[in-house]
Amino acid sequence: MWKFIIRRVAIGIFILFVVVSTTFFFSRIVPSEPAQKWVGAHATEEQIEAAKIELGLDKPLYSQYIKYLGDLLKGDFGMSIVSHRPVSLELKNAIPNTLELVILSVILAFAIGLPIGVYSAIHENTIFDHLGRFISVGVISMPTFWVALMLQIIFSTKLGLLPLTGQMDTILKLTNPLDKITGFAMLDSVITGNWRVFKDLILHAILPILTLMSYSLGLTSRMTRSILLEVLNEDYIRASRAYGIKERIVIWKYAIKNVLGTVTTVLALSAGYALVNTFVIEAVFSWPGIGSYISRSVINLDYPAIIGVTLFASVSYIILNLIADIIVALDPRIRFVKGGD
Amino acid sequence: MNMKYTKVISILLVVLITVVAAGCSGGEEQQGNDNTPKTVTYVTHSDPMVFWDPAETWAIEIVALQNIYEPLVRIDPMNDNEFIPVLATEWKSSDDGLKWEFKLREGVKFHSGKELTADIAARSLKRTIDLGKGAAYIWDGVKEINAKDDNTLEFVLERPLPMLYIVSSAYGSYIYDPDLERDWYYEGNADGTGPYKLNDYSKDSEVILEKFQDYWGGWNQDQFDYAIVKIVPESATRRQLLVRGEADIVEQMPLEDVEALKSDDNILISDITSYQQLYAFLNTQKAPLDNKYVRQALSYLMPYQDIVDHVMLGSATQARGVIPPNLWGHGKDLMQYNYDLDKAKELLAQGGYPDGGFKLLYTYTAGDKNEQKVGELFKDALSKVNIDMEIRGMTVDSKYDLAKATDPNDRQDITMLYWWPDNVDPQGYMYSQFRTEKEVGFNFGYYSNPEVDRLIDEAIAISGTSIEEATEKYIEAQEIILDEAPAIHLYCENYVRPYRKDLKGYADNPAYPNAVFFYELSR
Repeated sequence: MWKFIIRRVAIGIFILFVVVSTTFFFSRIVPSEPAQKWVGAHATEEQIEAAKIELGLDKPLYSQYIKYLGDLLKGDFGMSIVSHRPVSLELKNAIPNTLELVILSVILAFAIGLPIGVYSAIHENTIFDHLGRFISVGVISMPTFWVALMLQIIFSTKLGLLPLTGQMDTILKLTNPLDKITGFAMLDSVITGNWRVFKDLILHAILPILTLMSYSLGLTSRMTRSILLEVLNEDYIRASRAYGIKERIVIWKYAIKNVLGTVTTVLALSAGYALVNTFVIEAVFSWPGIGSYISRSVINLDYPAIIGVTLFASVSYIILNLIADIIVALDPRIRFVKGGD
Repeated sequence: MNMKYTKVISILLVVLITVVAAGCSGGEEQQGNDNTPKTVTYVTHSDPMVFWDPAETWAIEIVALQNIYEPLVRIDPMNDNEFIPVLATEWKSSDDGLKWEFKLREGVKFHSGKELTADIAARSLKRTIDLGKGAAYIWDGVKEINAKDDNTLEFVLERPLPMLYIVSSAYGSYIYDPDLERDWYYEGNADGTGPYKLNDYSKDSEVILEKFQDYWGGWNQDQFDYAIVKIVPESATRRQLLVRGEADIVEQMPLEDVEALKSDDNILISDITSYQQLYAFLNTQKAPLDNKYVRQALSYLMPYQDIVDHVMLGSATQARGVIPPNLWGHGKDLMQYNYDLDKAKELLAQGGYPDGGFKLLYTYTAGDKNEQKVGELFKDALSKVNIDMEIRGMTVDSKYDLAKATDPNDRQDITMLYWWPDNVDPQGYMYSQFRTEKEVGFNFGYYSNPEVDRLIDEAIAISGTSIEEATEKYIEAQEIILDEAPAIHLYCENYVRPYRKDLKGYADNPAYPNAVFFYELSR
């Protein structure tokens, strides 16, 4: 088992290296003039030349690449071409905001999707089942940016129940400043007992989280339903029922165990999907996270920032995959045979 | 799942819900205690914070920085180029124009509490010049900057310069604390003498400015305690925020949205002619546009009015010459080409192309809808005289690469360029775009005329002593340029900004593009 995990981690590191290298070279092959962007639109030739030296762009690409890798190992992501600030600093501020959305949406998708799936499976082919399936197929198929806009129009513009954009009300930020402890705003507001801010944060997060969880929710409930239906037809379930064990216990104790493994695996992967989805959603909700950051960086071909985000996204993906693999590996029926996984 | 776990989870859920509920109700109790501060909100489409060091500033960060830092003097182009004393209260120049003295305002404090002295002012400008970044070149020709006494700043010049136009520049003209380091600024800090200090910055979200209690101008109760620059990339969302009253002023709205907002009783629209002018440069070194008559014919074929009406939806003014209106050097009696098919046919015949029959390449920056639409309308107009045109959208860099190809015959025939000034001086429009260049910079017509070169040089030299004489020279040069038509002068964009009707004191100043002076506002 440990051998398996170590192998996985080693492969992960190798993938990271490949990802960093390809992003580095691809973002440099695309025609762009980073030095020009660094100094401004009306810069003179001399200013551009000076900027090239300052940014190390005067050196051949391979030595830039080696230097970049070296800096990366030291945790230095370089300077953003657009904002002239260290990418690591900007990532440090943006990542918690995005993770907050992703984690909450995945937890909620699981907490809501699983019971719906179970209920659908038990009441197979009833109206509820059809409705549930209709909704889950629907939310998977709807483009997220459209869902986001619709939620905004309904809950914010028409009903006026929830804020339109942003993470937190600005005036509240001034009257009840939030101390930064972990960088996760909601967690910080709980730790410091800043309840007004906490409430405001929740209100602002509802629409983005609803948008983000729609896909995972649909996926979870559908997966749960179909796997549970399969499991319920197996012999050991029939045997349990024949013993006269209560149906509730049959499902929640015996059947669900065989569902959970697959569903959590799917969920871990859908967290990766949610992470990518924030790229679109954050722009719509003006959410100050990784998604807003990458869209601005791509528009400006800000390559240190692009690599920084890519790196973060790949690390997340690798970790999520690892989690999924470990969950599968925890199943005692899976054995580690020499020479194979 | 074991029943025990179910229980544990249920308990956790109950606890969580209670905490949330407690949090919410706790909030209600506190609500009555604080008086809400007065805030004004300006919504922009992208994060303005590009340059943090006041010596380097050269982009839209002036949206915030113009409120944090101050120059010696500001200029009001909408009011006959009046100079407004800011950190300098009076100024005078020597008779030969080689020495300028600025008296500094007394009792000015930095946000840090430090007092402003002539020594600090002199050293901050010297730092800007020494760093040589951003718009530092505006100080070219300044030999020395001295602190004559505690509040007299002296400039010694190599040649007479239009100093007031330089010290009032939107970029590179700030007086700041020269003892602060560049890194400190880029950690997200600022320290100026302006009415607002930086309170908080969250990237891609907002910049919060807080009123500086000790500001030399003092405060009255109608002014704002906080000024917020909010970043909202979605234009539909920006519009919503304005309509709901959560935004006071909005930058960069699609003109279709502006049209719709005009019917809202709570919203006013500020619409002024900016300095941003669009040019179509004609390749004067490649056939057939090396022929003056063909270039003139093309100038008559541009459907100017349709472009202003349908591309810009009326939010633009047809250009008259190289230099935009409101900027000195503009000639209000200069000739203007207008769409005239017959004249164009006549000129084409004169140029040796009575039946057209050639093909042109039009390049523009991909993504710029206006340049693209101009291209489409122009192509349509050209087809009437049997001229074909390929419209090619390119990235800025590849567009420039093509425009700078070694052989002029490899370059495009027509390319689009916007120009705007760094300070209120027409020099850039004339010098960078129409003066002979050894290596191609921004003169994309590849135009070279010794007479025009001489006039531009003379205008620049004399601008230090007499704006009137410099204007005459520039007008003379523009007459030649208009006749020889190395470029088609399209339109000058208007800055259109919808804002809330109850906001008092808002006046857009084109010399400081996109900036809002929050100190002037009240409600």
